[in-house]
Amino acid sequence: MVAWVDYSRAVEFAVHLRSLKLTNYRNFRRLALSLDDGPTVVQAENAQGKTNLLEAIALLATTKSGRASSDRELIHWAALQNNDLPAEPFARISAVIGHERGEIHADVVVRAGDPTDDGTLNASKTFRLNGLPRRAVEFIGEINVVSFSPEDVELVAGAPSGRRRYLDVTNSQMSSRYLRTLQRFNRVLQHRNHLLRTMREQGRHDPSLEVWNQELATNGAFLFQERARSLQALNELADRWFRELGSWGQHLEIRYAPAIGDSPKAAILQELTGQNDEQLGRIHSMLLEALERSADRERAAGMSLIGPHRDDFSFRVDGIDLNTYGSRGQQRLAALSLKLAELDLLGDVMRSRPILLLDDVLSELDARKQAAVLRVAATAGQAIITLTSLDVLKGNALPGARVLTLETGALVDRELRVAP
Amino acid sequence: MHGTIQPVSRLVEAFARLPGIGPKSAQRLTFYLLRAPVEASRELADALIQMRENVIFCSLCFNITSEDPCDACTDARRDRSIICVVEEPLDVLALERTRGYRGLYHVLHGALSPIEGIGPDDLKITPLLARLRDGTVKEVILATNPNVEGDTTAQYLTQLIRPLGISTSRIARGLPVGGDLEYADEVTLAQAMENRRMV
Repeated sequence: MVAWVDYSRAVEFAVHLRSLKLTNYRNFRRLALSLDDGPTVVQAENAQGKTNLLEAIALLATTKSGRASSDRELIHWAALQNNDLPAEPFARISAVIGHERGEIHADVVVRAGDPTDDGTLNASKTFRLNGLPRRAVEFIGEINVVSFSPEDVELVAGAPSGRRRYLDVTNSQMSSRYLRTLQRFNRVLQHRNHLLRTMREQGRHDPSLEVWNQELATNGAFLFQERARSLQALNELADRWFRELGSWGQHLEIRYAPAIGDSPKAAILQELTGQNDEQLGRIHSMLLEALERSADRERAAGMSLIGPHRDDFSFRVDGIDLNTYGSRGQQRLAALSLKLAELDLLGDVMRSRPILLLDDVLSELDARKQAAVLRVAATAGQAIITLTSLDVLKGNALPGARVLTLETGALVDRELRVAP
Repeated sequence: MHGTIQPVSRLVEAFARLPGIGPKSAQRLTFYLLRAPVEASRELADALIQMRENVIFCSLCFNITSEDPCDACTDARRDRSIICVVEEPLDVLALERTRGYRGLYHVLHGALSPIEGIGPDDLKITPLLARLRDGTVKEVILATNPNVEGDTTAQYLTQLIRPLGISTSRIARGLPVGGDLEYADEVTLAQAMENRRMV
């Protein structure tokens, strides 16, 4: 086992949000709040904007909303309707980020564009750091977040696409090279799928397929390597949490299932040793061989059947796959263990503890798990915890933490503190 | 377009079909021309027709020209042992502005892009290989764009040119002049390190 995380090493400084301003974002016309490092509790009834608030913070970290099917949804409905203004409708997220070296001002603006010819409504996002325009890949990673919500059980119980998205978001936060490689890979994949489809339709070979295989293998190999490495680390860390929080004393195993064909050599993806060119070269040639072996199948299908876009990973307890056979309780605990592992991993890799976002998750955990999660939140660099009711904080959790109250997209002008 | 007469909407639509021009800009251009003296419209129309009728492609390098072969291909002061391969005529202009390159060019008119249905047969690859066979050319510089399509095209050409015994090179990528190391992204910086030179 390769240990990525050195538990003894202290994290010196936690990058955190000092303030956050939302304009026309989802149900917020205008919201401004200052934030402490350490835990902040946001209390509200359902449908007052708790999840939207956390989504905005996550978007600052990853440049994407995990929920919206179109970025246009991020703009307040009233702003969208007010179409006769000279300016286009927009939503803005502005934040002041506390870094070791000082403050950074980060802005995301979502603009509703003109409808396209086929009538689709679109939107575009622009990013600025200290007032200077940045591309998404340059913006990402200024802050790191780990968010946990009740829907995360779908990581264990849901479809592979959700698990791939999770791997991509986590790895992209840790490395902009991963994000760039992923973007490049997706572009190559689109080209290659078009080419395979054309070849099938026209019934002839295209001499350029070979270079597209090369491109797919070059970018795919890096994604395989990085996913394997992060899953190895997450596996080790999540198992600790699973044993600590579970009542069964069982081991959790997170196992990578790379879509690299049936080669026996694929086992090297289960036991990688860090990052090196020689290893990357081996994965590259393994992927190229797999592509050659499945050339006929791919031509018949008219699409790419091998590569990271078909990856998956599984959660197993005592060899049993929780996706199919796990109880809801086990699935939830596995998802929670993964998120806590991610918090450890990001903190170690980025040398700064990530911001922890807990979206109304405490109420569905039992007392022991609640206590463990609150302990983690209390020691996180910064944690924002949304709750419908403050009852779960009884019994001296988060002493002294600020409590903000949200009502219909606005802060209630009354600040509480959890009893010290 | 509703609420306007046909000759106006026809021009708006014609402008809107151009790359980089959306419906709003198309309207603005149209109404500008409507208000400007009629000579402005005549001049524009004439320039468009002249451009299409008098510009041809050089039969050697496929750059745009008014005479075939083009000035660059017939210029005796140029180094005929080097060919720089680019995607578009605009790339030739950009390289000429550097005044640092004195070899010949070859314009592919695009890059491999299956999404847009562009394959090897749609690019000027066969004429390039024909130019390389007479033994004058010693080096081919692949100056396609540093994106997925350009890189893949360069890779494809390399595989075709290598067997001819001609050396191929790919233009370097790295830090922009006047750029700040601190603000360079990870990949560009890594590539700049990889492509470093002894001084």
